[in-house]
Amino acid sequence: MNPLVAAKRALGIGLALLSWQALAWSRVVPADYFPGLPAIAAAEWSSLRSGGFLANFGTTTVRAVGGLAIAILIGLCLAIVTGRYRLVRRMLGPFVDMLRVLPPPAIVPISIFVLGIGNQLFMFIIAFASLWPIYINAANALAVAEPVQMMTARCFGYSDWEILVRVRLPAALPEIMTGIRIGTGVALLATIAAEMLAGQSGLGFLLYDAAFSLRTPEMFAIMATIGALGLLLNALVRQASRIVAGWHIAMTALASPA
Amino acid sequence: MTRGVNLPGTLFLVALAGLWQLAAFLVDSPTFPSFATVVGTLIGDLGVLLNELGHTLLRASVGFGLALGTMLPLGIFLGRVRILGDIIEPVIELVRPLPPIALIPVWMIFLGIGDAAKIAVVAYGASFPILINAIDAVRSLHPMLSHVARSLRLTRAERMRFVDLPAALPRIAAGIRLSIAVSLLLAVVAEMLLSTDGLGAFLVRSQESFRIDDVLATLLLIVLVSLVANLATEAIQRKLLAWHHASAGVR
Repeated sequence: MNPLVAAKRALGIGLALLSWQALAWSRVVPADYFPGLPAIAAAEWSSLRSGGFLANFGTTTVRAVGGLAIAILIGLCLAIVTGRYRLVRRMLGPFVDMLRVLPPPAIVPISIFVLGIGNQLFMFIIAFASLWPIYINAANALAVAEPVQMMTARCFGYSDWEILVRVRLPAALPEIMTGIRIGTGVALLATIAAEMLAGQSGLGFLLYDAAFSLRTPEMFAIMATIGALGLLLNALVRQASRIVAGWHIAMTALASPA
Repeated sequence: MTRGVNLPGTLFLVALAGLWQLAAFLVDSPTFPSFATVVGTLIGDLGVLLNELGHTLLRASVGFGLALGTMLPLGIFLGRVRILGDIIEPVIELVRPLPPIALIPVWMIFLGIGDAAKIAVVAYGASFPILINAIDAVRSLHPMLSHVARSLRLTRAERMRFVDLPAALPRIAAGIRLSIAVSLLLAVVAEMLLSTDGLGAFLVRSQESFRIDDVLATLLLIVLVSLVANLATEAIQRKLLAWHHASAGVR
């Protein structure tokens, strides 16, 4: 990153933090509701030193990542099948359209009936929520076939399955990774929502608990932690995309100014 | 992308409904309502459900309207005034990974559990897709547009209003579509957590009193409404952006 960009970024974030602190100092809003940065930092620090908080952080992370992993597995398998058989893709189309518009938290009540309030509930809701962006991106990418690539593959005598796995799948990887990145954001959202609605543990539950007992510094500290978790997951997926689809990024970087 | 009726897809849905009906008949348990029962509940409770839906849609659309009204100009402004955009964008990127749902407690503390809090939840969440898309869209406009505007001696405000906005609109449209979907989602979730009325609250109440058919009927209604909203958005956008599609086709 060039120093000018870094300077602007630092300036922006610095100004945002400063205005937060200024608002807290000005007492326009009661300090009980809107704590200053030192109070939030102190709450974050004491949370981090207590074992319970870290355990809950771990719970949320494991749930989000576990649900996401299930969604990736199912989504990619499904996309490969629909990439091979167009009829299946058309068949699933309206069904997928219906399920993906369901707000993930709205399926919490019905899932509680079926699955109870356990880990399987969280896994199901998170996987359900993040499945659609992953599947739809992958299926769309696999459906597009570059004619030249296809003809080349045919000349090499590839079978349909070989073309799918060795030509179309690699070509679709960048878009698949985009779907996974969107899915990661959705997974975190679903995790927090499910924990708020049905949780007895996890950051979403802690957040709700802190808010209802008006421990505002702790509440903001938990929000900062959730945001940091989101940034971390996002950075990890970005890194993974670079490893898996780096060749594509390198190719397109030639065409557009970096 | 115009296409007729998707026959395999429709048949699959019908088959699923039939399978559901059959399974419910075989299990024959009050906790497993059949498809017909759920549809019957949906029709029977339509009055109540439509009333709740009204609350939900009102909150969703007011929140979305607030987001659109503020974020569209702001996005164009930040995209055009490069230096400000560069400073503010990192802040947006920093805040964005925090799910809008995690802010519900904050709105609750400041605004209570009334309409204001729920609208705030929707407006906050719906802002990001519009804002980010608007900034990106304006930045990626062809430089020639801005040269032309300058040689026509348009002021900065005029340039944003008459050149940047229409030129960037086709790309911003994607953000707006996303934002509408997010608005509906967040309205329902806000009602589930800050329950007073609306579909989300109805959902939670039905769950707590074990009215499983009501839960499923509500979900069915949410799906139908979202699909209609999607179609309506697409139709409106196709109409509003007809000039764009026409010129893109001619080129």
